[in-house]
Amino acid sequence: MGIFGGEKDYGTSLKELLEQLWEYQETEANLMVEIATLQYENGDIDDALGFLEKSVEIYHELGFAEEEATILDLIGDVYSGNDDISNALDYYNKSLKLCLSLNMPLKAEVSDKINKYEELLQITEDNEDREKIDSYVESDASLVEEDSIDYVNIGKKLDDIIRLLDESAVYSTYQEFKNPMAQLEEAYEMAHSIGDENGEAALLLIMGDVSLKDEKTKKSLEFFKRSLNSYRNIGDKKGQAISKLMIGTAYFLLGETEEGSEYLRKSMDIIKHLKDVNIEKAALALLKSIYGD
Amino acid sequence: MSESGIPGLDEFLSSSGYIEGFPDNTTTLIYGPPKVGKSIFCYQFAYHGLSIKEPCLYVTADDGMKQLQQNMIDFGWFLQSSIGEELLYVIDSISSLSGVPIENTNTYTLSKINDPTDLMVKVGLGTRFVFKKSNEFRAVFDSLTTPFAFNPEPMVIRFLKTYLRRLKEAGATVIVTYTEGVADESTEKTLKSIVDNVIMLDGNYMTFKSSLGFIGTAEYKITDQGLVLGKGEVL
Repeated sequence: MGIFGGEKDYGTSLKELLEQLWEYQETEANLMVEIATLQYENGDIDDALGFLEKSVEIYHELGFAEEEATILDLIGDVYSGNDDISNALDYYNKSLKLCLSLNMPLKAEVSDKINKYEELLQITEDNEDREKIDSYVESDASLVEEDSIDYVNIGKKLDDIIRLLDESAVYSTYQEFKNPMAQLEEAYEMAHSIGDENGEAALLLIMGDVSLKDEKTKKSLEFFKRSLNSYRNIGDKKGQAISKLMIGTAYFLLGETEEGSEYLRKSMDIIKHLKDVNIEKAALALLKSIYGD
Repeated sequence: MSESGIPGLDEFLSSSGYIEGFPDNTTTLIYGPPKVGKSIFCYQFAYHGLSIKEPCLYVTADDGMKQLQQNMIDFGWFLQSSIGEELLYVIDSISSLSGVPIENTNTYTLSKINDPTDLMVKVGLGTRFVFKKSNEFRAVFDSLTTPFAFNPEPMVIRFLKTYLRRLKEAGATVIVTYTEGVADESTEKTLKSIVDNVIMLDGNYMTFKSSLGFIGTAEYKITDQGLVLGKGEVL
């Protein structure tokens, strides 16, 4: 049992041994990075990522934050090199967090990569959304079965769309009043009397939405159609697109799927030209609710 | 009559024999170039009313609530007790532009300067609240300058006509301010024609014109006590 019989005291021995262990661990992590580099160059991406992940764990355990940040950035590079932008961004962000906390010069480079890939990801998502929208509106409306319509979900999606109107943030708060419809009607009269046409159109849309939630679908359809007329009068394309989405949805809820589909198609024609990512996303979410994914 | 709270003004108006002090349940436009004391007139008018327990519906369109309170504190006019007694109802139509979330209270509500419909709805709610406190109350709109900057002029005029009519019907003594030169000349003419009284401030003289036929002008100064009227002349 010679190893337990040394002359050094316990504290000194333990410290020396731990230091040796840490050196071995650091060397192990360095070797893993070298192995991963070779594997990556050989096209063994998954193996390379495995070794890099392990090395990150070791650096983290040792408290070597700079090395950890560097390897996280490297993993991000491996992912981006393989067009996996989402994962790449995840690792770049982790790396950037450490770089910023340590004020490492690497932060500028990582930050640039994040900006570049976030932009790329947005463009990709937008293109995918546009393709999906096209496929929805081209689909056969008769295939939508009334039983499959999720009314609650559709209601939420309509709220999301209405929120995209500039005026709606204020008017939507009227729904918190005791009698929201009376409040909205009073506001509509007011808008009409002072000639606030934007306000009139938005209020009609919100009154339609409230009616729809009250399951007064025919009434809601009237409001939406009046809203569409108002938006036409003031030449507001975004308002027209939203009104048409609402009209289309109301027709669907009334079981008039052909008519509904026609309005949704017309709305999408406008939305495509608006180049407004938020409305495209909201419209897509609504179509998903109506047609199913 | 209402007590204006401007030292010397009520006496000057009464001296004419045409009117007895500041005419109550009327609408008054206060206009002039910048920095001549239009807002100070509003603070003084509102604060004096509150001090004699007359409620006030105050639309602040140039400064947010905090700035309004600070501006009044500069003259030693503290609003806290009137807010506590719910005598002051403030519609803040400018703070929402900052994007900082601010909570509404019973007597403080946000609106948007570029949304005249909402502003009018909030005025309706505020009027009902204040009217329940007293059917004699004051209403201040300081100022029309900002709505003119954010909305078409004809719409602001229509808004103002509705605002004045509703408040007058409810029994309020109303003052609105406007910075000369912001709107077209024809709009300015319309502005002056839809109110009962017009007060022009030029930094040295205050000229008061009433639809009842009174026209008078008096010297005034901006002091640490607010506006103070000096010698005047009935024209």
